[in-house]
Amino acid sequence: MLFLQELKKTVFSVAYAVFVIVTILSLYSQGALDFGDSRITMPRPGENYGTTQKEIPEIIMPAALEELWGEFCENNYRTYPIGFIKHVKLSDREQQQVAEILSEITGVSKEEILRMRQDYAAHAGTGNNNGANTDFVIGGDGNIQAGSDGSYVISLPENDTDNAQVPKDVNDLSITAAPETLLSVRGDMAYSRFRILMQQVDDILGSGSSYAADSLIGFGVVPLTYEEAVQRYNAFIDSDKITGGYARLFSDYAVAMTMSILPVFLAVLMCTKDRRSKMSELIYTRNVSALKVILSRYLAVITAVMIPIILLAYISNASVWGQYSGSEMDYLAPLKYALGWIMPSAMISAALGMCLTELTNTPIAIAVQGFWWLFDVNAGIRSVASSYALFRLAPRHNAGAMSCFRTQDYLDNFRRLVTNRLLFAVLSILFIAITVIIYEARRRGSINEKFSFKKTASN
Amino acid sequence: MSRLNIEIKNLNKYYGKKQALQNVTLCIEQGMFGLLGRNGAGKTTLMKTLATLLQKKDGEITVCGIPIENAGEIRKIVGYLPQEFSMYPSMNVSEAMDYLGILSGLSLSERRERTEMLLKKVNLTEHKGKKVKALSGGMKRRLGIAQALLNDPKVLIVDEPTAGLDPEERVRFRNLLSETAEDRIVILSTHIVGDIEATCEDIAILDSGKVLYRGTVDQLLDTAQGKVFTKAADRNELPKLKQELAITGMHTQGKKVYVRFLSEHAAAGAEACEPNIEDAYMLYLLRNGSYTPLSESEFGSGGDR
Repeated sequence: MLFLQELKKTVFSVAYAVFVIVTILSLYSQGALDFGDSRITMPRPGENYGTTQKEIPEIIMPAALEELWGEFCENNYRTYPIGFIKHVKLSDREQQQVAEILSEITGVSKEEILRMRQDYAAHAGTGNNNGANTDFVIGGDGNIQAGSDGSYVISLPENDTDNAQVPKDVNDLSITAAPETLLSVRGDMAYSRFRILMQQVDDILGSGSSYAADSLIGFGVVPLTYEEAVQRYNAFIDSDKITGGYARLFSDYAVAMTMSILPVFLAVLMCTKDRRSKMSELIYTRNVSALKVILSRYLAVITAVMIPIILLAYISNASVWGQYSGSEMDYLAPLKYALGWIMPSAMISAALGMCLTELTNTPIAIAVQGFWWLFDVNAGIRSVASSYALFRLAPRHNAGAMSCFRTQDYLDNFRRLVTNRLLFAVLSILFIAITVIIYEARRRGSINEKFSFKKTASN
Repeated sequence: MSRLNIEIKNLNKYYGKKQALQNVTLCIEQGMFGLLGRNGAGKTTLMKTLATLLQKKDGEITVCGIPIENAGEIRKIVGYLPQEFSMYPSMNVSEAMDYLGILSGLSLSERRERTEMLLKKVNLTEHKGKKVKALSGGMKRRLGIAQALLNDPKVLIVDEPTAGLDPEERVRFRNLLSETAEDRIVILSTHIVGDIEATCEDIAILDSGKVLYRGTVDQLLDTAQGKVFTKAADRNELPKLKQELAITGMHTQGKKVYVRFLSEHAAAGAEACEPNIEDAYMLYLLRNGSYTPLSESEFGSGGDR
């Protein structure tokens, strides 16, 4: 009964109306409420099946080198330290360090690297260049062919250090004049060493770059084979039962954009409402237990935030049902994903909000949760592993509808996801248990008398 | 069934290093009990301690035989109306009562029955659909009493209930409290002597955390017999009188001023007069060294005090 009262209090509030509106607008703006134009079809031979990322050193190393060389030449590095793009301009000393790394990777002397960059700058100054990354070919011919057996044929430059590694004529390295000139990864460069060097670049850049060891896989883009495309499609049909993939995509947006942060606002408002309404003492002196009060309020917040999310999940999911009529679909998928994927994030957000608010009597929880959310969400989706990291507040997964929702990746990482979600659920319960203790202590004056002496003692 | 009383023995309470209650010992029986004292005397601290909102440093408190440490049981038999309170402004009177009834563990039928009965008792039945934020100060106080009585408590603790009320509301509120005290203990804390005078038989005076007086109103008046005097003087003498006398009231008439003052002994040119509770209360403060002389501005204002 108390739960219903608390739910009513929550739902009939301005804050809740704002929560619902922001949630709808956020998801709508990302197209997460209507996937109607993303029908997945059975692949046919000869089609373009898109790409995937694989940790193939022969692909990653030249691609990463190309990117690094381009940014080095322009001294304009793109990083995403907290998600938002940041253009980093290095000092001369730091550029020298990057040049040393480039030198080790390519076998070209540091002095030569720096001179090549000066040439680039000179050409750029005359306006002859259209951009280092487009006119300057690095790392072999970059020719990657997918074989019919699922293998890759990668054409690499000749491994002749005397001839291939060191340009025959440095003038050929000019940006616009010598598009065929090669600056390639040394043939004896071990991938493990390459990763270390790239991580050093990331460190110089202040982290958040695509050169970070766990981000390098982003350079391993390879075309999907027909067999892989069929396998991916079958997993989408058989394992996801179609709706599961769409539900996962919705969850990905919902957990990252709203449910990891917005519940904290409702929780904080819920906990401060008694004080703001000068009603705390009327409630403290009732014979209801602290456990019942806190648990009712917590469940009310969770229920209030989950009801619209579940409805929106079904609205989103139902937008594609018509396109797969006749196929076997799991109509409970939106509910399962909402409860299993999204709810633990809402739980921790609300629990942390209640705990810190009861402890401090301030809305500091909003700032704490806000920073956590900002850091977590902007950690991005550099790799599948990082998306399912143990302490990931908002597990990310889907790269887009045409990925067929990465069903296999999802299945491969299911245990990690479950562990993550259970961990957050348990942490939430722990926070709530602490909140109950704090509430009872505040109710008995054990905390109040330390922080509100003047007010209490004045009468 | 345990006896309807509150026993407080050697109660001490500190805020940091400041002692808010000093060896307070009281026994409170059924009926209205007035706790009189100035702001800062420790009244609210004592009230909150009895309502389980504050923890004592040491001493013993039992409420109807239940040790205060057993907060859960105490809360079942205590109703509390704090000095400053309100309710969720978006709720109407009935909803607020219902919500607090749920927190008191009442069933739906009990809540309906008690809410109807109590709203009738406090004369708010016709306002039960009104938002709490739309209630006047007096109505809000009456609603406060109603909510405090929801669980039919054996002890009702009311802290400074008449502050800010107009005279009519104050009288109505006093009567309401007196009615509720018929079958329970009602502790009324106030610094307004008139409230005590109109409602309480048993009282205690608290000052600086200490009990200065415990007894009946009549006994209190008796202690002030022969200690209250009036004297007429020239208005120019006021500053001098202020230095010499513990003045409790005065009024001016032309160039004359009539002062009412406390004294342990008869003073020259002064006439003994019948003490009231205010005089007796001030006498206890005087004896405790807590009497604060009237200020210059108060003297200059003229009229009665």
